[in-house]
Amino acid sequence: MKGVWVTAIGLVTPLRPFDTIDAFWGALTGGENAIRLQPPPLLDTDRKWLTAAIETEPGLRPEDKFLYIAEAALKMAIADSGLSSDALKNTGLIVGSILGNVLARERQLIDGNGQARTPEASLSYPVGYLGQRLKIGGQLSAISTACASGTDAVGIAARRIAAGDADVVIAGGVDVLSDFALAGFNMLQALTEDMVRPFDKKRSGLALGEGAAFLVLENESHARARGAKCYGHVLGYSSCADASHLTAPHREGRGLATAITHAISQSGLKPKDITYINAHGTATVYNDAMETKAIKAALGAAAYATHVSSTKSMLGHAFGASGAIEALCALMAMKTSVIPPTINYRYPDPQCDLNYVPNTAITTPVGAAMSLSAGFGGQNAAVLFGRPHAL
Amino acid sequence: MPSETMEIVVTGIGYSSSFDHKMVEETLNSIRQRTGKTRFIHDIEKSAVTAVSLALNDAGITFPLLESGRDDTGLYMGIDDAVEDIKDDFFRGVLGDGILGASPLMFPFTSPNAFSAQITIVFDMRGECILMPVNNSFEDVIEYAVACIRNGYTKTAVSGGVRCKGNNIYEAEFFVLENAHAAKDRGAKAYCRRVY
Repeated sequence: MKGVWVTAIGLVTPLRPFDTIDAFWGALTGGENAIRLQPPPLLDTDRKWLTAAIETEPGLRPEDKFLYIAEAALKMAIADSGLSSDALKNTGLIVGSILGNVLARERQLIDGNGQARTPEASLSYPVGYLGQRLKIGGQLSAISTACASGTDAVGIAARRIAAGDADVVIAGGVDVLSDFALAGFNMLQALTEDMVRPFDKKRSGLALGEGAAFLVLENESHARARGAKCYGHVLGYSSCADASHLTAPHREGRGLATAITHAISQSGLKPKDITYINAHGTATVYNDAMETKAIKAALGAAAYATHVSSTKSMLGHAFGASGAIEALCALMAMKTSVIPPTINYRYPDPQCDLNYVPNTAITTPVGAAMSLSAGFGGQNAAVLFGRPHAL
Repeated sequence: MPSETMEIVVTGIGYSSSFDHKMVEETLNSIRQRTGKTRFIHDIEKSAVTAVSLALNDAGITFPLLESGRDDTGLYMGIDDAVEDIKDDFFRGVLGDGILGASPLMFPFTSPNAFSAQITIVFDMRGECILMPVNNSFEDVIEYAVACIRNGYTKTAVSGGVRCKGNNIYEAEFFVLENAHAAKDRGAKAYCRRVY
């Protein structure tokens, strides 16, 4: 894949509010942990959960949080891009999400007003709403591929640009914490009551999070003509199904390995050229073992020289937004030459034997960086970025 | 960008409606060898698997048995708000009985890609798998499937979707799309063609 630049980024995460990406990045690479014991969003219960929640302005209703953070992240990306309002009229938008504005529907059901469903709860609603609010006039698409939604949104946007079907597409993901998801993941026994320890022998599950992130992807000549900055080039993207199980990953990581292999083959790079992988790294027993196997299967011996870290150890698992947030982290690692750590890592697991950047960030030039996602239904996606020449 | 003209053809069509319960059950029965390990929970997945089965059969595509799947066939699927009924039922269980009311059978199907995943599992399709929530026709998702063939990301695409027709009736329609040369080489018929 050639000629696709990432020219702007924007995000909202559970780390304390930041005005700039650089401030967010400083906190993340400093190992700041956003995961705390907190009550569920709407249900009145004594039980608290380890979650990474975004603090919003006082007075904002929980059921408005989804669109609020989506719009905030999108505005940040647009401001970063410098795109004019005229340019936005021909810009596409792809929004990935698993549950959409589920809190709006929860509220209706809790209040006993479940008969008439509001359009806000529809998964295709947010992209239309955001497009209208911010006057984005190109092709609008929604993606829902479980935890790979954000990565697939970015990848599909890159393909549209590489094929010449669009000059600029903004792509990303958004999801919020919900009582709905807490009940479901609790039932699956996927939530930790300890701490999120990706790739650690004592890992005991994930913490749910929330967030929104968007990347502005742009045709290279279009970006050059308007003097846009470049965070990185999209060099490859692939989606692959495990075709194995509705909730569990394939134990050998076959779908993810194939996705990584396909993304690398599109780039013209060799596995040894990939300096950093932002892993899906949920800290569940099966995901982390599967992901390690997939990386080793795809990269071979080069896997051991590649830095692999999980930013979910600090941000929690933001569902459909996680892929976009982590793609952004991969880009920032290239831009700043700092690789964020996997925090809470104490006990090496023989099944997870790669370099997971334990507890402390590493400063090193990052030539190419990849972001991986895997999700329910055997969804797998990999997106590969190359360093902008100017860096 | 594609460097030469490419002709893409529709070689298979499948349609099913959960209203035609008998047809759905007969079709699923005919592929029992594939669905043996699959426990269908919802009419949406039954309709979707049925329509894909009919489309693949119509296209003359026979998949290898499990454990020898292929990654050159992608699934590109649209879905309307059909999944929202399942989400409502799941959350009503939580409201009624607390967290113990969370149904393990229902939870996976609150994520709409469960239906595309079920298709990939039944037919052992290990290629791309993309689900787009849409509230109109499935034109966008079919266009994307065509683009993926055109740009070499998949050899064959199964594309279409599922929608709710009201009163718990679901209909699914899928098409098999492929490069005209590949279709001709394997002697497949073509319903229609589009040149890029």
